[in-house]
Amino acid sequence: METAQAIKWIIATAKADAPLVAVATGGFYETFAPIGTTMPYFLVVAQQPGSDVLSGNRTRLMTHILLQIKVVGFTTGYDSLITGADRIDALFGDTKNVALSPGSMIACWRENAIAYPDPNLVDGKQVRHLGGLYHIELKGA
Amino acid sequence: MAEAFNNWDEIAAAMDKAAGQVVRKVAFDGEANIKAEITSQDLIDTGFMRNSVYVKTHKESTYGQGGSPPKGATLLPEIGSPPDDKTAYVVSGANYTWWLNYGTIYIAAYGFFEKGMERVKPGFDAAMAAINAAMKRAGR
Repeated sequence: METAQAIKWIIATAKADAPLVAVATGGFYETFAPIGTTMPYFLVVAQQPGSDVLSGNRTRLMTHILLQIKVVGFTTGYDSLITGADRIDALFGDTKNVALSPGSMIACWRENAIAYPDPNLVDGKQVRHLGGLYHIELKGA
Repeated sequence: MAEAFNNWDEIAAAMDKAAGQVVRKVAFDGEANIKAEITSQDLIDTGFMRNSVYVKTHKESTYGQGGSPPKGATLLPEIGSPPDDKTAYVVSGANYTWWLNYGTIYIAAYGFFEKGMERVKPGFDAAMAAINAAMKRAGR
């Protein structure tokens, strides 16, 4: 399933990046991090899970997927979040032709940046989200 | 004696007008789709967020039709006008929309804006293709 493949590729790629691992000490999560997760953490969310591109005879050529990829952490550690978001953009901001099993990730680019404060305080401290919306074209099986 | 002439000015004007109409329709379709997503994802408490989604085109706006904000919420100021009639904005006036759409540490992202706007893309492509086809027919 293309969306799951995309998320799996994103997390595997992120976990293989030493500078990003050094920032995301709370771990790497999909959709939602458990409440109480140590900050900062890495999060990928299927913002628009996918729309298929079909050929004339309805063969699926590829799927467009929009993922929210970000780091979440305390405002007091904002420099670290900037480093994390920069690493996310270096990894996914303009990437093409990555072989998957099955299929391939055809192209990945950032559509929009994301930067906003969380409405909730944790331990009396403000929390920030920093990253972007990344568009992925993926050919599955 | 021969005189050269063409209809490029008329063609350009017609194309410009048609493209503007397509953008306007796509924006209002997007607004409707986003509201439908909010409803279908059961994100309605007071209805303020849903009703605060509005369209701002070069000449018109549906801002301020969402009623009064509930306690603790605010209606954000109206966005400025787009630069031309080939640009339109689909916007939410409720200050808390961002957190529901993109998530918080306690709420998963619902993504209703992106899901709603994604559904207008086929219509936009089809409308622009229809303009292209009409121009080809006219050029024969």
